[in-house]
Amino acid sequence: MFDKFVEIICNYVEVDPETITEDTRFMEDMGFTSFDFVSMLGEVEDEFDIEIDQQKAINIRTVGEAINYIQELINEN
Amino acid sequence: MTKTKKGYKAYPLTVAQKFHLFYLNFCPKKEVVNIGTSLTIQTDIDFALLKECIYKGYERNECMRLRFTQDDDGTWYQYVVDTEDRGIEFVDFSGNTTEEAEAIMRSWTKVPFELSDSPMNRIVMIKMPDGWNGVYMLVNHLVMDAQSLIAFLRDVIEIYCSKVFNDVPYPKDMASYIEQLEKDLAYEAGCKAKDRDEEYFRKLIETSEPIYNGIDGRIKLDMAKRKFNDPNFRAAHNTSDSVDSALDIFHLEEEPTTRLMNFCEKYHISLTCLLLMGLFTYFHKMNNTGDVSINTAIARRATLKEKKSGGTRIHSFPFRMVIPENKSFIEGIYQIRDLQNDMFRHANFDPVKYFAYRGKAYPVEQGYTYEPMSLTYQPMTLKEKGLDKLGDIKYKTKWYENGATTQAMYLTVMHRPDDNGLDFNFEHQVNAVSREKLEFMYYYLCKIMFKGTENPDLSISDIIKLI
Repeated sequence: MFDKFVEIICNYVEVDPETITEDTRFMEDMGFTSFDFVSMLGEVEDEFDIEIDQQKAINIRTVGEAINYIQELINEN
Repeated sequence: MTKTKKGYKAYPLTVAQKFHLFYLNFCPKKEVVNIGTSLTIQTDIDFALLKECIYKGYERNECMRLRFTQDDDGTWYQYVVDTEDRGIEFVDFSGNTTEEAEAIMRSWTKVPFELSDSPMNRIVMIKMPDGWNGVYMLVNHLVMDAQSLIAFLRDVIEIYCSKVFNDVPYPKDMASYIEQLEKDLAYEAGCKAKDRDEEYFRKLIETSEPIYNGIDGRIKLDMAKRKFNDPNFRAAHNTSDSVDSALDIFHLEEEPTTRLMNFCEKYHISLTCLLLMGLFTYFHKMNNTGDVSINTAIARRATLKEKKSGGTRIHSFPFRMVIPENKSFIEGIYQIRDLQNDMFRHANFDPVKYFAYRGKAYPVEQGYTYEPMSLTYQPMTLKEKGLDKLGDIKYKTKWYENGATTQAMYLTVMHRPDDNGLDFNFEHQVNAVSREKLEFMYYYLCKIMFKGTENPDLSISDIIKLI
């Protein structure tokens, strides 16, 4: 899951995948814009076959928080 | 059946391109779609090497080799030629003053492109007075937007730096314009996502009719009400008959800019949301209504492929903010953020169709609108990559106005590359909005944003009273 998610992240920003950890922040550390982030959510939904609640996703700041949320949604399915 | 032109595969125009073509068709000044900029560095440049790097840039960026062509029935198509082997011009301004050199580049920006089967850009290597050297670049908005122009310049600089500095790697490949074009055209031909996007905007439009807000209050709205003898009329004639434009730039220094950016980081919001909240509060104050609509440009570049494929991708939609005045400043921003995120998900939709649908839902005479202005925030600068390799060497960018606009007022907010302060670029029709009105608006916009960021829990009505 972590590796797949990092692969998706690397479609959006120029970042060395080796440097991404669970603590890496989307905007401050990787330079995501809000448009990048919202667009990435669409790809994540398709990849993991889940439906993301935008209100919850808005508060996600780090890769770890995103992975926990995705895992939660996968478990619910 | 696949069309070919001059031996190349020809593609229809995208909706983003058709949007530019739409206003180009009725604008008397064809230079309205020109974008001119210069990038200069305070150091000597090896112009022969720079020339090689520019050709390499042409090779790596398909959209720089784009051509348009028209069928007998008037339909426009586009194709990408294999090579660009035009000579690269060189102009030595060292005998001129900076003002004279800039005036000449401004005049270049006012020369329209021949649209049929011709190059859609012009690059001139320039030697400026006082040791500044670099390039002037002119492009047609149908092939590039500001973001792809910056991406191209960055690519050329990175190639140049990789040849001059031993420790600078050669830049990674750019992405294919044609690949993104085919993706866009596939969406436009029809798919589930397009249906979802249409449904979203249809519902949004049907909510209720927007209302026009003027930069200086309700004068234009009241005129429209009188003209149509309708006290409930909600649109106004916002533009002038003349498309002559001016560009007025107001500079926000680095320190106050940092305060705004820190606020955005702390509350996890984009600067666009803060700017929209500032504009909402300004128009609320001037028009005494909490229902404000502004056109916003969405760059539609999320993936690296989109960011590096060039082209023109902007879709502009009206952004309507209906926020009760007892809400706090930060609650208003969150409301804007949520609406903006919703709109982002549907931003591939055709803006021309949006306006056509709205025109049917709320028929008003042509030329009447609900949006007094447009807003773009340009987060991309040359500083992030490319020129950071130059160390202490100073550099500057300058944008040149083309002298025409079909909109009354267009605000582009961008970071200055040298100190990362903000420039508020107001391009406006000279006869529609005066510089004095813009100064007034800019003053209050800043006052609102600083009052709101210092006191995010203050209500909108309190902020209006306090400024």
